[in-house]
Amino acid sequence: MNKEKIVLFEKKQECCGCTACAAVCPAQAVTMQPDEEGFLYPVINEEKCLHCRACIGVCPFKD
Amino acid sequence: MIYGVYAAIHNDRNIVSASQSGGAFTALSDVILDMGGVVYGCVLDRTFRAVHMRADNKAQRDLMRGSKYVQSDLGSTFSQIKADLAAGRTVLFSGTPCQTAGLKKFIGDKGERLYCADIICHGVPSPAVWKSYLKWQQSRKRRRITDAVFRNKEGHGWHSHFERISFEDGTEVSSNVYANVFYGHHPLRPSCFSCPFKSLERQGDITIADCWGIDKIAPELDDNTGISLMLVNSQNGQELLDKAGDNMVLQPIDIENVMQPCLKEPFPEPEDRDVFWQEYRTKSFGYIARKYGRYGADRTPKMLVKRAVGKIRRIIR
Ligand SMILES: Cc1cc2nc3c(=O)[nH]c(=O)nc-3n(C[C@H](O)[C@H](O)[C@H](O)COP(=O)(O)OP(=O)(O)OC[C@H]3O[C@@H](n4cnc5c(N)ncnc54)[C@H](O)[C@@H]3O)c2cc1C
Ligand code: SF4
Ligand code: SF4
Ligand code: SF4
Repeated sequence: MNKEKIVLFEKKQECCGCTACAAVCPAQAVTMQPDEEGFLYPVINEEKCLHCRACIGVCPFKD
Repeated sequence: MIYGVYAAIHNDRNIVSASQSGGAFTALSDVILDMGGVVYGCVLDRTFRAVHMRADNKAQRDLMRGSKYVQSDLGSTFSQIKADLAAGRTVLFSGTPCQTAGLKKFIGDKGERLYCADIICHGVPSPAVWKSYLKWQQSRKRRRITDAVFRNKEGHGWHSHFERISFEDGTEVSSNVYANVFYGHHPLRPSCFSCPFKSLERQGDITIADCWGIDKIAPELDDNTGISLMLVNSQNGQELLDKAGDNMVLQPIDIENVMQPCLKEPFPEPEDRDVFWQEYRTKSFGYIARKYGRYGADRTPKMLVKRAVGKIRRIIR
């Protein structure tokens, strides 16, 4: 499998914080964490990540 | 595709009073609960944080009434819904269009028993700003906050927007400082300025909203107690409305007459959004309240203090 680092969003405008990526992750590698403005964003734990890309596929902001 | 557009008012006036608009959410969720299903929606928890919760009875569902103008924390809601569906339960999810879109993609083709009601969404402010606002109100009063209502319809009518904060000594503050900061758009989530869901292509089976514009087309319906707008967007939505319809006065209306900005396009990001956040981080909330919330700007006192009769419900930590 491609071991490239998974990037869920380049800019904050591209993530609404819906938690779908965290819910779908088979490795529980995604947790929602607050940024400096107090909004939750997904953060991937690289050590747990299986690079399956399920999180990218489920994201409603990537259609 | 839109199956129908209605102005809707619940037959029970007490339910209309307790809801943000005309009580459409209660009528829809009653159908689901009566058939043994579960309802997910946004409540304010004991610390006044907006969070999504699960309800399998009406008392729990009632806590979801009222708009919380702050981004809700979904927690593990999506996984809980997946488990409920797998167990054969019927589920109604209520939330923002983007939450609904994420849920639907997550559930995928296992969603025959999933009904979604999305709101027409102005955008969601930061939970941090809401918390700072409450702390500011608390420090001005030197009393603990026991209740908070984002848009106090009972006190000021459906068309207006004042928040009501209640304190442990039984007093209340009616203010529009938070509302003004919200409508300035500075505290909204960045994604709200590029939101792809502000259109008539809806995410929910039914969209529920305030029926703004009704005073122009059917003024006889508008006594300022609240009217819901309902857009029926799918066959499932139509079936749900058919069952809920008996409990509401439904008047078909022309979508052209109720096209509000949030059905058309996102708001532009304020040019001074960075300035707001810089000031939010470095100055007191009193400064934010004056500059962005019009606190002290008008001659008439913005804060009307009243004796409250309501009982103490929640204590801020
Ligand atoms: C942040 C926000 C922005 C809104 N913007 C608009 C707008 O621009 N135009 C418009 O017409 N209507 C808007 N609404 C919807 C409107 O205020 C009413 O919520 C809607 O009409 C339902 O009224 P009701 O009487 O049927 O429901 P009620 O019984 O009052 O139920 C409220 C419903 O809203 C949901 N809800 C409350 N707070 C949140 C939240 N923070 N996140 C997700 N779901 C929540 C609850 O789960 C419940 O389903 C907005 C609501 C929110 C929360
Ligand atoms: S790529 Fe797969 S394992 Fe890695 S975070 Fe995304 S869903 Fe989880
Ligand atoms: S699925 Fe997409 S929009 Fe939703 S939280 Fe994850 S990255 Fe953000
Ligand atoms: S405006 Fe769009 S991105 Fe922002 S909360 Fe509403 S639906 Fe989500």
